[in-house]
Amino acid sequence: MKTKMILLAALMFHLMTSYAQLSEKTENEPQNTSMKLMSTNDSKISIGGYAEINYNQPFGNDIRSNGELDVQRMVLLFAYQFNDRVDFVTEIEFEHVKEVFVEQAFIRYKLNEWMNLRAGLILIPMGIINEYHEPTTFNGVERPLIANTLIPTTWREIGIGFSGKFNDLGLKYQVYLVNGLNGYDDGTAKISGGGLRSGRKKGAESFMSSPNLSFKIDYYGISNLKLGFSGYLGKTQSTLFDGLDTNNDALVMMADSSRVGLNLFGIDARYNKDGFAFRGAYFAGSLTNTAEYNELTGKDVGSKLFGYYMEASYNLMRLFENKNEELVFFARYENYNTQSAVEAGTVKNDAYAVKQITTGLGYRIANGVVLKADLQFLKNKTQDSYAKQFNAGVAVWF
Amino acid sequence: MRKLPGLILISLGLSLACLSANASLSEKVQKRMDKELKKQLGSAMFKRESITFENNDLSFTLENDQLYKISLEKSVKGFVLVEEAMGRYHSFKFMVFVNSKLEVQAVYVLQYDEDYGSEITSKKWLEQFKGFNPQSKFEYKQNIDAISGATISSKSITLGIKNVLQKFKELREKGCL
Repeated sequence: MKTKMILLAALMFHLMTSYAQLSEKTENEPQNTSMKLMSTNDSKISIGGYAEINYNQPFGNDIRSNGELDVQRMVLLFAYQFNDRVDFVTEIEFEHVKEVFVEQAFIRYKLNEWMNLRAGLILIPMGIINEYHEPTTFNGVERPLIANTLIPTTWREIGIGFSGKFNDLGLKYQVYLVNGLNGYDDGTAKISGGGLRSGRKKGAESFMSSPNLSFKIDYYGISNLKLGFSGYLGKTQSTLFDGLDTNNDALVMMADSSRVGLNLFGIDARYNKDGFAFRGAYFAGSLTNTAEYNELTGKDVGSKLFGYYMEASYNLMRLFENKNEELVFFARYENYNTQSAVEAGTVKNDAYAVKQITTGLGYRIANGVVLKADLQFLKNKTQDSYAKQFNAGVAVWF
Repeated sequence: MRKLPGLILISLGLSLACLSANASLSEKVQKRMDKELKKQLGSAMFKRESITFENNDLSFTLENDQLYKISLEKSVKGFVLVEEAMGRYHSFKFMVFVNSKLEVQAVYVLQYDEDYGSEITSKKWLEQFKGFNPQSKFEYKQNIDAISGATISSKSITLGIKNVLQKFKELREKGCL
């Protein structure tokens, strides 16, 4: 662990000093670091990053709680352009100051105008936040719960596939074969009625029993509107397939029971015009083989899950004819259930049905820096009243 | 058997790619430039001449294949400047076609390699820049519509177009156009 940290620090230091040599004049307009670096035609490295420093304070009932302050994430992005056709992109994340993860690490190879090959550790294209998770691009201190519990953001897997665009049609697409979520690891069941999040291997010595298919289509042919449709099909992975004697029927059946089939779909929409923005996302999933999985593992995985959120926002500065600054007021409603249906024999738990309302402000003090504050009201079906929490945070993207 | 769909996907993709990967990039860029100019001028009979300067006191570097004079039937219709700007991880090339009064007639993205931010290649979005001249004031998210998910490239091209117009202004003031 320590060796990895030292090597990482050395790499960053080297890249920082290279940046210092490559960058030329500073511009008057604020640009992000990658724009500055590439102002000379020879520069091939770009460096960027984002960070979220948050404060969460529950309040409002008879029980006093401590507030939590956290450098929730500090991320560095590096990209290297090998030539016109090939580049490498990597995203390294420090969570809560001490956990290091690699969120992306892939090669992009341009095959032709409408098709690129991508291989490596890739972001699963599902919903809005998983791909666009820079904190200055979403409202609220915390990400929508759906982009946490339902879609296990940041969801990334190792795989290979194609991405590209058809400019004239206003269409972008992505399709990948990836290794799936870990459903069963040496006796430990990794998923439950509470969702798929614990099944993430995060590219760290992932194993594959069967490939999964992930795809997304984005449509941006209508002005001010962006629509997306995503899908994810496959089975969860299981260590019981490793060294499995395919002639032993009992073992094969057991291995089969240790995985669940996933058929997940999502639709998302984003609209913005004249300071007003709307975004929404809807997900639905059907899970197969859950009765067998639950019998083997004692878990309570549901056979269906669904969730959606809707958000509206407005830049209040426009009321004062001040178009330079941004003070965005927003309100968001989320509703999801990771166990909206169960197969016979599985216990249904109402605590998995959750509603959350978030409302607050985001004050953009510079391009790439937003000060945020909001109130959240959260309750699940077993509770009578909403738990309240105040959040404040600093969001940075460069 | 289960691996078959994956293998088919990959081999199909690679074979399709090989079929269309032949022409060199800069030839393609020039073809695209001419196609857009033909559309703007309503005729394929125009002349596109590269303009370069030997001794100049310009505040910026002008490459050999960057600036063009466009004429149709012996009258000058306008000028084109090809500029490079930065997307999220990869640079892209675009052209600004102005008339002889230095008013933007069209902005067209000639080469956009990466996936992120490719929405800026949308012709409808680029039409917003039509009519601007070096004196115009325009800002991303104010009078230029924002694009969700393409923040970096849309800001970058907006700034790039501003720079192009200032370059045209300087070229005119120094008698180069």
